Amino acid sequence: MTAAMIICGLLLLLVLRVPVAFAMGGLGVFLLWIYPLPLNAVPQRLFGTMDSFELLAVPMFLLMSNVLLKGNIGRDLFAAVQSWVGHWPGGLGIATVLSCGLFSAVSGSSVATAATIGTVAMPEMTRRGYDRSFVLGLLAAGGTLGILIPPSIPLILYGVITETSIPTLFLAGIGPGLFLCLAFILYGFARASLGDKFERSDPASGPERLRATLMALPTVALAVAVIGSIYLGIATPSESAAVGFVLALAMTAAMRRMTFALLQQAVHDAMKTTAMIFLIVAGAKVFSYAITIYRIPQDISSMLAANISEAGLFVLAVGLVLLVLGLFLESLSMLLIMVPVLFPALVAVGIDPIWFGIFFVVLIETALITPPVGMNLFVLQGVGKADLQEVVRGALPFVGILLATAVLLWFWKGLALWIPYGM
Amino acid sequence: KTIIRVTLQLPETHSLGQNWNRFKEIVERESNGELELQIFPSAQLYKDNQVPEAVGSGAIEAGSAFLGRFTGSVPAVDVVALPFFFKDEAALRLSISSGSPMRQLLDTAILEETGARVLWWQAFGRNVYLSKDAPLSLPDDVRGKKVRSYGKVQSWTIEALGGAPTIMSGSQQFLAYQQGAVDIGMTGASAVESRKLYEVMPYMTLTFDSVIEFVAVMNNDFFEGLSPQNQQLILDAASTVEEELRDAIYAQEAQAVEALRARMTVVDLTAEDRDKWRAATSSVIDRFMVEIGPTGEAVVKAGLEEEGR
Amino acid sequence: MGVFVRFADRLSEASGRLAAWVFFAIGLIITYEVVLRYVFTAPTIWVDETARIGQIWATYLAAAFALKHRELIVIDVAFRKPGTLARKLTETFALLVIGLFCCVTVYYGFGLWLDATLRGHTTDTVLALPAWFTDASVWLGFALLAVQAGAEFIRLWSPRSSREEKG
Ligand code: NA
Ligand code: NA
Repeated sequence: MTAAMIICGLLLLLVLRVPVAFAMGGLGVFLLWIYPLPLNAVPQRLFGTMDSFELLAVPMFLLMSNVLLKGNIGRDLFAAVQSWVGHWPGGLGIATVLSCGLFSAVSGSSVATAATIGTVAMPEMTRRGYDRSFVLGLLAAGGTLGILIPPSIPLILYGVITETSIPTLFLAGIGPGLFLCLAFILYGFARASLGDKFERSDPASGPERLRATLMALPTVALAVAVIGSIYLGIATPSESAAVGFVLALAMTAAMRRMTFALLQQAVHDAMKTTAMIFLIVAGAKVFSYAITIYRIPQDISSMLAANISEAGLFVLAVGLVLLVLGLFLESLSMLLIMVPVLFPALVAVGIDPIWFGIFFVVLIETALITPPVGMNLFVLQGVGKADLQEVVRGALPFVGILLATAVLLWFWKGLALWIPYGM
Repeated sequence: KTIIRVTLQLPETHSLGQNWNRFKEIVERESNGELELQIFPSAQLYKDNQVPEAVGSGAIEAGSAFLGRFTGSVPAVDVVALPFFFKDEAALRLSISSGSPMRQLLDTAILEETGARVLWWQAFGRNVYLSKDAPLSLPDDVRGKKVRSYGKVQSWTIEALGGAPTIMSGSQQFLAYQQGAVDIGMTGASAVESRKLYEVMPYMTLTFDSVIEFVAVMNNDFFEGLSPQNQQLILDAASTVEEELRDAIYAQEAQAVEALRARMTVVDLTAEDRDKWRAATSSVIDRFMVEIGPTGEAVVKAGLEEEGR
Repeated sequence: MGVFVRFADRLSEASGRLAAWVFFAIGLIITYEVVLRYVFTAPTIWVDETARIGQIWATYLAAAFALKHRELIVIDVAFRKPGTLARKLTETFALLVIGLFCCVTVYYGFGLWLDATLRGHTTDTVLALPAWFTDASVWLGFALLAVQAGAEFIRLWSPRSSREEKG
């Protein structure tokens, strides 16, 4: 009963356009106040939330990808991949997906991935006669790889909330990330073979290929170094990200693509996104403090445990709830609202927390490209100067692919768990 | 009916969590349900380092934290981390038992500085050294090595031994040892088994030179608002569970060490070796008295007096 | 009124810029630590805590900037047309929620800060940073946010400023 009222209250605040951070934080304060409980807890909780070395991975990865963005690295990646596969049937589509995958390996955010690759690939593809709506959908979906292929901001946050290993989560994201890449490529290839009309690119010459590949190589090396050092345990995700940022800065400076003005922009943009994310995290922490004191997660957990003893049924129920919430909620908020509530229950029914993290991220990816609220849809609407309808139409088949992947993950857990655990 | 909310860093299944559950059981029974405890384990509400302020300010009624978390307000609590300060287990038990002069000084200081009343001390275990390349038996073996530490005084000890201390959280240890980021580790004996540290560190030296203590605290204003009857039953329950836990922890530790002998090389220090270690680290006690000031000196004296030294 | 709005804007702009460079500096010091640890096997005792405290400061210093630049995520499903009375009312309500949240945080945060400061408390680490510095991050950041929320309220209801916003 209380739980239902709290959820309604939260939805009401969100519909009334209270920013997500303050809808959660404000409701948390209100709940503490009417209980009544000491409000001292609010500043203490706000301080404690940000007092976390793990969370530093978020601003550090954002700094790294913003520096690479300002250094025009997206263009290099796209050019290199295109020089190899651009002349295949549907080659530009393939190049787009691969570029998204590559950029995902240095960026922790889906929105950044969609925006970066979208900006370079969109004009090229429409110029060659690809169906606009298909291109918009492909880029929106390709961008979502940014949070599945490590590094990933949602996985960092999930690791911090649930105290699961962030390096293990990162490794678990690789398999499904590559699988989705392949699935997107096959879909693009099928569209091409089934007679979509567009102009193929000319095959690149050997020297052209070599040059383009050499230009992209440092970025690939950087991605491998950052993820490799986390995997080998040489550095924590936050440390790898910080070093990656400094290396990205050195790299773009060495390529003579970094000026002080560009650096300033990159640092600014990273700060803006960090503030946006962290304020939601802080608000969510105040909210979760209040609902924990009210014993809402505990009650939901025991209710679920009493009624649903089977893990499969539990995952199905949670998946449907997340799918519906994902239509309306911004993806990060979905994670921060739902994970604290669901986590005790899923541990109780014996679901692997690492596997669930990946499953959750695939559903977040879906949420990113479903209307009415889908951040990647909005990004492509902006980048492609398109109508929202047009983007949504193009993205729809990819929603199907993502949902199929979520189902597949349930039946084949190794897709996520094989790389970290090697079973 | 009065609700007492308790914030706990460790999971409910841990010995310290079970210790709180015992306390809850006694208090709820003795008060005929007038007092109800709600335990929030696994740092759901507060991280360890926020517990002193959270309980002290009354944001939450009670909680447990590593004693070292109070160094920000009462630096003298680090006295339990002084190397080879307590002669043996009997001396240790005497010095930190409830009501001893040292305890009184510290508990009073914590109350005055933070507003949190110490209910009881929770034994967590004693310190041991782990090493990777060679067994440690003499203090000189630490010289020039990188050593994992978990607090200020522990770091001073390493400096006194000529090593380079690095502060690391408990969870960072395994990887750091595996990767060779440090050569030597200081840790509680129980963690060697629970965190599987024996897989990456082949040698363990049973120095048992200092203790790791947690404290169970309650907001003082809240405590004083309770009826005298309830106050008394809380204090009685506290001293009961304090003894129970200390006995259980030291028994567990002995058991764990025996089990570990099959998995790693365990170095027991002879009496002469211990004297060498004590001599090599005695400067830490002087440094403590100088840097912590009058309270530091007072607790050190109280601790020594207790042992009749 | 106009003076107040301009003052708030400048303040938020400056604190946002400061926050951005604090994050930048954190990146540098963590890299410094990693290099010292792996190349010179000489880890520092100050980087971890400095980076964490820097993150708290930077995050809350950036809050007012984020509000000014409308970087706070809003669920855009209702009252979508800007300039309507209903939209203005919902935005007023949102600013009110933000303002109240700030008041609670500043009031209680300041109280805790004052107490810790007068007693000379520090963090519980080797570095022992003074509480007057670490704990001020929260109430100061939310005080700046409250000021900016006030400015946004004035901007919302003053006809001249809302025209400027469109241009
Ligand atoms: Na990524
Ligand atoms: Na959506």
